[in-house]
Amino acid sequence: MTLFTIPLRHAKAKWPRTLLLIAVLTLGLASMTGLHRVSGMIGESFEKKLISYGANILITPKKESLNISYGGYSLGDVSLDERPLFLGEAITAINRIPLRANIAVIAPKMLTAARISGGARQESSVAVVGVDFEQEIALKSYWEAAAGSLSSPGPDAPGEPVPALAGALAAEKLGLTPGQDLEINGRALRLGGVLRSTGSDDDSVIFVPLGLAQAMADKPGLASFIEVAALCSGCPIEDLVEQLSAALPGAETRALAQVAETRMYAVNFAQNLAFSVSLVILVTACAMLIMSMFSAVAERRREIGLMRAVGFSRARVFAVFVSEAAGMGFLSGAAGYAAGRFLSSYVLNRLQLAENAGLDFDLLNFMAVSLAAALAAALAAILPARSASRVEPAEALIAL
Amino acid sequence: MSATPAAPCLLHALNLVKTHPGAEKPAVDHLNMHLEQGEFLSILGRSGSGKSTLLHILSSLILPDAGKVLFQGRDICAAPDNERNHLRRRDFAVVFQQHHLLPYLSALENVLLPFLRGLSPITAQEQDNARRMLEKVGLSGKENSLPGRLSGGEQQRVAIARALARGARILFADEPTGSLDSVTGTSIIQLLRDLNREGLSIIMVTHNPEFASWTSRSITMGDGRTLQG
Ligand SMILES: Nc1ncnc2c1ncn2[C@@H]1O[C@H](COP(=O)(O)OP(=O)(O)OP(=O)(O)O)[C@@H](O)[C@H]1O
Ligand SMILES: [Mg+2]
Repeated sequence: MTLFTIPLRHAKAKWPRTLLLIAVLTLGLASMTGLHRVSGMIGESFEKKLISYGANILITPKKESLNISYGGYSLGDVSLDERPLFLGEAITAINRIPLRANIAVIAPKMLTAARISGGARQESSVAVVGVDFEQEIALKSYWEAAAGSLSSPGPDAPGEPVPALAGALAAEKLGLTPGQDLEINGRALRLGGVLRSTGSDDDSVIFVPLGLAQAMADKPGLASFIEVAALCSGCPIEDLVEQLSAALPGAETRALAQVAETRMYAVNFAQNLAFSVSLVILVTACAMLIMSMFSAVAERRREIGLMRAVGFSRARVFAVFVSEAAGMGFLSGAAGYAAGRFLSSYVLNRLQLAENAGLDFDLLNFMAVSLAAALAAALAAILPARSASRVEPAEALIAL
Repeated sequence: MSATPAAPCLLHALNLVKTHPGAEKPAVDHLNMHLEQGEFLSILGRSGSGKSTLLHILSSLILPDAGKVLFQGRDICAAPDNERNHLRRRDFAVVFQQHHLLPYLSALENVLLPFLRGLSPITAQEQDNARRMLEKVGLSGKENSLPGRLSGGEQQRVAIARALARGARILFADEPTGSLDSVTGTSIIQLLRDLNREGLSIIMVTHNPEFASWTSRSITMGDGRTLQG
């Protein structure tokens, strides 16, 4: 028997009240952990989709251009000065920005035109895009191989033919088939695969390793532009653009994908809503705990007076009440975490928001939630417990 | 009324005044009294004469507005909170008319109540001692009963066992037989007399002159003062 036998026995004796309080707190915590997980998973799966929509930030060389028109005749924008985009420098700068962790893919491009031969058709001109295949495939998770494979283009090893990928239209127009040896501007290439039609510019170009395109364009170490895919549930995309602009003063950085951003906004909104709702539930549960503790103190004045009359200090009485609340909080936290896991798995699987959302019961999280709930309940009990500790010993003697 | 007792004086009240908040006249009015070591003192008096108020002041449950209570020569009314807690835990024990047990703790646990110290559990020795005291007041076999399952007289005995278990110096009893029938009441008074013979000092408020006549000395109160004793 310790001091805590008192709250334990009391909670047991008043079990309907105890159970009700635990149930309400559990409900609050279950909805909190459950909603948190569901909205987190939705955000995560949305972020995955966001990358699959491609880049959302574009870095291009800074251009100074002048729109020349005179007497109703327009020459259009005439480029006066284009500062080259040095790839090595740019990537170093990008890697140093504070929000680097939010950048998933950095995909540089070198655009050039070339003559191609070796296909079923005769030699013709084609747009060639030099890419870092690894980054490009990460960026364009919607890429599928119509023939051959995407994975074959590896780093160009000496002696091996340089790998290439062809867009659907380009392959059709030039009569290309995977495995074929090609010649672009006199350089030997082997076609690794042909992309399924994407409906984008990708369809009509040939993708080659960046280094080869740089050499063909005679622009070693430069990039035509860099596409960046950022994960932005944690930050607004403007912040990223701002940081990238600051890091790359010689280049132009702008956000693409307004659509993606609005969608992200919707996800954020849903997450905030889930958070607010669970906060309201939790605050309500805590308020109920406080009120019930206050009424318990009022009910138990005589008991408290008795404890004081047999020598309990104010601190001891305080501890009796706070520990009873903390105990209920702990149990509610444990039950709430478990219930939240079950609930969120059910919802996620039912709404097919995540593949095979298991329980993912995490012992550390479980303990953290339980302890946090115990702490919250103890905090909620402070005022009632303080009023309990102020009961005078003589109150035990007041006859009914 | 002697203000300077001959025998070693255990408890000494000097000029006690207490007016309850909202009350017109004082419940205890410039009262002097004392308790000698080993004495069994009874306090008589009409209803409302201030007996309970006096007992509460003496047992350190409430503070007087003026005056002193000397316990072993030290003014306990001027003592700090923790010292008064300690007095209530160790040296003073109170037995009320009713409501002196926590309803959800067993008889044994109620006896052990003053021994609780936070996280460190009750020792086996303390537990054995508590069992012995329950046996002594005639409650062997009822250690694990909840107060709701005990009769009024048995509940009084639990409270008395609680006083004995911690070796209290003074037992304060406020109409301990008030809610009991006369046979049960008599047995409680007899128990108190036995304990007094073993050396426990007792102050008991009672309405029953017969019970008072069994004690070593009685004082009668009227209008907050001692009328005789
Ligand atoms: N908590 C209180 N607040 C206000 N007045 C009180 C309080 N307790 C007692 N009194 C008043 O103080 C006076 C003395 O009360 P006390 O309870 O000491 O008398 P008592 O002699 O014990 O009476 P009884 O024999 O009926 O128990 C009474 O007039 C009573 O109304
Ligand atoms: Mg009284």
